[in-house]
Amino acid sequence: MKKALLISTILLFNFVLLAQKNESVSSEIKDDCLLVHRQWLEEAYILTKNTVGFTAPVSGRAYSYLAIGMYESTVEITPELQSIHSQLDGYDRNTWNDNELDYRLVANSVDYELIQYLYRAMPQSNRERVVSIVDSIENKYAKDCSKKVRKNSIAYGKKLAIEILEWSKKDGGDTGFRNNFPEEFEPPYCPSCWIKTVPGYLPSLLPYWGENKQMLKESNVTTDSCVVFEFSEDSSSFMYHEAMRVLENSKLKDPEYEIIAEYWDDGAGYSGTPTGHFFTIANQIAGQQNLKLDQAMELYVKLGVAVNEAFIAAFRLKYKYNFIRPITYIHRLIDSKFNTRIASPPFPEFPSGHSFQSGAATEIMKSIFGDSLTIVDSTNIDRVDIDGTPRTFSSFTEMSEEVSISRLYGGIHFLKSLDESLKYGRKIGKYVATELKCRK
Amino acid sequence: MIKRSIYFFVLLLFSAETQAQNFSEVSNEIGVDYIYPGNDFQMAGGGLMVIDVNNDGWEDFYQCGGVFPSKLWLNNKGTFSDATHEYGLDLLEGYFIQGAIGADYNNDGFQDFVIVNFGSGLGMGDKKSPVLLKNINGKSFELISLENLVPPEDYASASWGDFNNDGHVDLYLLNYVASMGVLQDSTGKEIGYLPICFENRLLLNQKGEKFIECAEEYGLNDGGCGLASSFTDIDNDGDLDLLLLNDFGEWTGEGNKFYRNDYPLKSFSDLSDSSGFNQKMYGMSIGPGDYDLDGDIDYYITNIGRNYLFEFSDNRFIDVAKKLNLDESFVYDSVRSTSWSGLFFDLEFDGDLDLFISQGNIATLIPKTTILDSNKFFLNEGRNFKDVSNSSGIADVLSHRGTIIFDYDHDGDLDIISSVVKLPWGAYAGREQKIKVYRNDTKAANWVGIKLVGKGKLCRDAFGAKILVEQNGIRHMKEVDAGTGHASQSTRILYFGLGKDSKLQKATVFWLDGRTTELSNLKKNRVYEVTSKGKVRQVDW
Repeated sequence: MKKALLISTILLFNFVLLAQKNESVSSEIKDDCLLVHRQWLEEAYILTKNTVGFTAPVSGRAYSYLAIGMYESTVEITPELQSIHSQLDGYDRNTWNDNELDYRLVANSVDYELIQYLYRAMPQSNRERVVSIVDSIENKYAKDCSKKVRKNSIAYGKKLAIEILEWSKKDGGDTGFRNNFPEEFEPPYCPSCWIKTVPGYLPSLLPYWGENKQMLKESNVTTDSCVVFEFSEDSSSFMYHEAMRVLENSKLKDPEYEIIAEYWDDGAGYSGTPTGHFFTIANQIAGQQNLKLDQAMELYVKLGVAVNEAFIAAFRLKYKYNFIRPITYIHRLIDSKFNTRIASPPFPEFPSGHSFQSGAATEIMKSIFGDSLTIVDSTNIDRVDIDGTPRTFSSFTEMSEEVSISRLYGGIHFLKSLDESLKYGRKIGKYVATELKCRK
Repeated sequence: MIKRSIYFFVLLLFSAETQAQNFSEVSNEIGVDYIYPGNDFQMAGGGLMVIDVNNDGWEDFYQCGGVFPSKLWLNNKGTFSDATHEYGLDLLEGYFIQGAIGADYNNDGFQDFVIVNFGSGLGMGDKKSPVLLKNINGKSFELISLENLVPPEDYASASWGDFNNDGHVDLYLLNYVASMGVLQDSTGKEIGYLPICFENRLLLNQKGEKFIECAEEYGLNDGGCGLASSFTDIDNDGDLDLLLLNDFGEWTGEGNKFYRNDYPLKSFSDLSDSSGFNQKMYGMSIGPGDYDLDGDIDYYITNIGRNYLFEFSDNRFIDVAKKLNLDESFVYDSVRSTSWSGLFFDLEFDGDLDLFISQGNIATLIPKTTILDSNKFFLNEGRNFKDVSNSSGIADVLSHRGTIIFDYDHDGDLDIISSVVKLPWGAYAGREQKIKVYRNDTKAANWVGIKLVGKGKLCRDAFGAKILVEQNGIRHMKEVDAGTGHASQSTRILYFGLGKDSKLQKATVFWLDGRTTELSNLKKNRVYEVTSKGKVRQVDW
């Protein structure tokens, strides 16, 4: 009994020592950890573009688990932060450090393991690139530590990642990338119902995504009162008036409408999707503001969780209301030759996923930076299929409003839907910003 | 001893398997490592065009990128580099490019081309009319907008041809969907399409200096959803007739068209119904070829569902696709196949034409199609075609579109390049949805290539001119390619397989002005240039 007590005391003493040692990790090491995370975030953007099936909700989910992994991988060396595992529904972290580790290698290991699983459908050429990145980061930092520390760090990172991935498999979205368009799903038919639209005539995207488990247990409550406006075919109705707004906007010649619509379209298959776009903005701000590891981790993890919650809520409501797209309504009742500026996505109109997502994301950013920061977004600077000239905003609020209204300019949403969606997206963001407590 | 026998047996098996595969995919190996960055509905065309931009004898190719950048791939003796910027073609960024078709429209000896684009602004791309790319001494291209002639609408393909026999090649622009509605039954279920399409345009070349739009005047302002066409002298009367394929024919009521050229009258006669070329289908591409070696051109027509192979006889088109098992109607059960480019060429240069079909799913409302739709290859074995798709090395399950055929590596056989667009289906997870270069690895027999050049009152491209080869009693007819396959154009060199023969015995060139040029005893494995003045010279190869 005495012996057992002695051993426990020694272990506890060692753990406390180790904890103190971890908390005193040099700022250079922490900066390196952040560099590792940022490099993997940039890679996630490329993979989101290149991996089949990474539609907006699927990408939002992948980024959220990646951000959680990043956060947890370095939380032990950021004394300002606490693990958030107990706040996330179903995530029970049992992996803790009791060895000497190099946290740059831990970060690299966690990020790699998460990415190679979440993006497991990546093409071979991307797989080779991912392997080369993990090797190059490992080789860069491994020379600073013993073989044992190197081995332990990588193993620890892998164990931590596996734990997160096992948790992720229970949310309902694990194979979403393979099954964006479930064949068995039959959308309902009614005058106000969404139907397939030009130009792709794609079937319903992710009709069951709204059933996915959210990360914060009460997230859904924030959007319970989000209700679609009344459908009517009457030419004096509010609905008809909303449709006319879309039609009239489509006739405006100012090229700025098209530039904005295309800039924020962030379609799957050729962009990082809305989530990749906002993570890139976050990454840009982290660099510009010289964020420290703890600040960046808080930003990324809250952003990831908020975006995932927003997409689940949006898709739950989309398939609850099954609301008609403007192009279908206008073709049917007003003008059979109406064309949108961007393609109508293959799912119901209300609420707007972009508005939910951008509202949620910008609330997270506002909670950390306030709302008077000038943002220069250069995410699309290398794109040549659209006008990717960097766009400047004087606040996050202004940016979220442009994202939202871009869908009216695109001709794919009603203004009323956008206003309501942005309002509820912000509620989700505020909820995550407040309820997800990162700081001790 | 036993071990050794097993080793040789395994080696033999391996060799047999290796020999059985006709093609190897070598896009990375030769520098064409292009993955289309978008999704299918951003790139309905995916056209490819063979063009020798600098007249060095190594044919280059142009790849249409939809709303994303299109590429000029310069042939550096068998490998390729991206020369888009070098040739000033990056100025086309912003255009929603479907296809590209080449012609020396000003007869200056350098190959120009036209790009056809979706210019109405539907969904994506800028509102722009098609553009002519004038080749400046093989070093760059000058952009000449056609905006003063044709409005920015949705052009899907084009054909060149000197239909008024004035020595200057004219241009037919195919116009696609203006707006698309959905037909629903009383319960609201989608049961069909309600497309409204733009009218096609015809540009008459004025001595290589300008064009005049005259589709209505000639009766060629067809209002179907045009997707493929070919100027070809079907009735062998010395002028170019027009075959036109319309998409969504079942829903627009506009079927395919056969317009007979009434030259010297300024008109075409619509003989679609009387000739039997009036199918209301999803017309995708026209592939000409004298598959039965009877001395006239036959036409392979692709579709969503049943493809057709038409012979033309007594002013009637007779479909023999089903008889030859080339109709490719279904992938399985009632699930239709989606064929894009169906092209004839002689794989092993044994003297007859084989058939490649690029297949590729598209997100259709109806009819029922499948993503498990792989490319097809049929070997011509006398009177029968043998399906060797699975062993040929081309049977990718991806969404293929435009196709070109040419001997890019000058190794004496014809290779295939097939464009691939990216689709979001989960079944494609992990696959490289990239352009495919299928290098021909067959031990091909002997051959002769002939490049025709028009002089005087004939357009330099000699589009519509034909060559009839007579070899060991077999008669084989070919016509210069002015755009075949889906929004694409293959080599303009006419290749004839000789089998084991060391010489091409006899060939007759039929020029559009009625003159003929007789050729004989052309040596094997060489390319010859033949002018309408009768001058024959061997081309460096």
